[in-house]
Amino acid sequence: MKASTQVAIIGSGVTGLSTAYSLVEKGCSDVVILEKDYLSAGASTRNGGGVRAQFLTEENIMLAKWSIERFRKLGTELNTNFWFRQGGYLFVAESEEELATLRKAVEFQRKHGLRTRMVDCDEARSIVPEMACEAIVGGCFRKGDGVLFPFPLLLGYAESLRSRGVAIETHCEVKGIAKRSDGFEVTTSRGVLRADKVLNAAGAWSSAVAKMLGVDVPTQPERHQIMVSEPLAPFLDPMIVTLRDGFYMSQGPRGELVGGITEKKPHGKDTRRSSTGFCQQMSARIVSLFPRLAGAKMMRQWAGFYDVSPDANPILDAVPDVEGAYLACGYSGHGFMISPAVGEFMASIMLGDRPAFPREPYKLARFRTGEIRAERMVIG
Amino acid sequence: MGTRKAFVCLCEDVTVEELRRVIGRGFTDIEEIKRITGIGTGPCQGKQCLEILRRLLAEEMSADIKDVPVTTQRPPVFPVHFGQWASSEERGAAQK
Repeated sequence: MKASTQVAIIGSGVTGLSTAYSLVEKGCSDVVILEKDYLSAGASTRNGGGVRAQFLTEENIMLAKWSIERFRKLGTELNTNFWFRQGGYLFVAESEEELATLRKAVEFQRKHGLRTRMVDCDEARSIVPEMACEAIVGGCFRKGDGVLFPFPLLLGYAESLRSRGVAIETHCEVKGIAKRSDGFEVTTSRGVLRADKVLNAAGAWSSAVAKMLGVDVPTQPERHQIMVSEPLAPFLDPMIVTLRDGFYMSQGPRGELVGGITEKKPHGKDTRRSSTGFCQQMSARIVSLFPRLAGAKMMRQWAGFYDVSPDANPILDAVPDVEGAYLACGYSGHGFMISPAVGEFMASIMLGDRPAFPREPYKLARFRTGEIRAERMVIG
Repeated sequence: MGTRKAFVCLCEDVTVEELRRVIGRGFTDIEEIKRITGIGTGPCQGKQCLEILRRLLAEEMSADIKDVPVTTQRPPVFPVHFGQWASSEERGAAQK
């Protein structure tokens, strides 16, 4: 590992990679990415690949819209195929109350330039023909949302960055960060790295990394689980989401179903790992919505962490009172889908440029001043 | 292993040659190789291929196979019908 760098990024997840990519695009390629495990070992390689702009805060809609446009071009740019497919997101309501919530969401999103629309049962059934519609009273749909396959995008970023001089040091854990008069001294399991600027992009570990700089960040890791079915003939075009229990499921490019659900209670003895309780709850839901899937098999499940912030919105900021330190965390389950915009935003503020999005809503200080607008469309 | 085009992972069509190429690109962590090639993520869940990958990794890196870690084992051991899982939840709830 080299001894000094302009920018040290802690975490090789999609935030770190996409920020490094934007830094290089803006002319700064003296970047070292430090990763304690294998490449993108946290939530970036564990998420369900959903990409949507259907949110309930302007902050998330802005980042998501920008990111979706980027995803459409990134594959060609990075010479990788991450199977971005805009089959839409169908949110389903099972009560009049849930339907009213979706109506409000649609109204809000249309005001912010999204063409989300309400659908009745018949149309929901025409979008997802296999769905059992007895319990469903309606839903909302936006065609521009979709799904992607996370790993090829991460690998595309990593290979492109390496070819342009960025070092990605995997199995290199950050043990401590000391502020010096002329930058930072980052102590790792493989030696000391001097850096002018540091970015904390450590995902579920970001509040722990922030502590190394003496900063309190109010985010917390929260386990979520996902499962994958055996490959099945294509039948599910959009991502389907139920409002009632945060159930989501899509069908990937190899025909496998990928999905999760909000756990009724944290299943299992070890709340960091996967559990059979999740498989049971998830399967019961799948069978109730798609009775024919009772005969299909679940192939694999795993667990990962959301980095949850108090208002379920990201924190994207310069660290107050620590000049040269930056923070990008707290995505609360939707980090991957907004990562191109986040990378662009962070690279801009780190280089002293004017970012494409307002800075105020993403600041850490919002939790002290009490001016928070919570995102309620959190699923999984 | 002399047969370059021999299949190591039958579920995901991964050959010896492809694995060597990925290792040659510097990806020597078994978790990375799994994600890049898809090895071990098909219906057999790695029961046929991951030990061969470990041996190949040991060879390519001149290491002892004992020092090559296995990937995290993901449940279920064998694929299970959604219907079976779902009815096991009902039974569990009835017992309580």
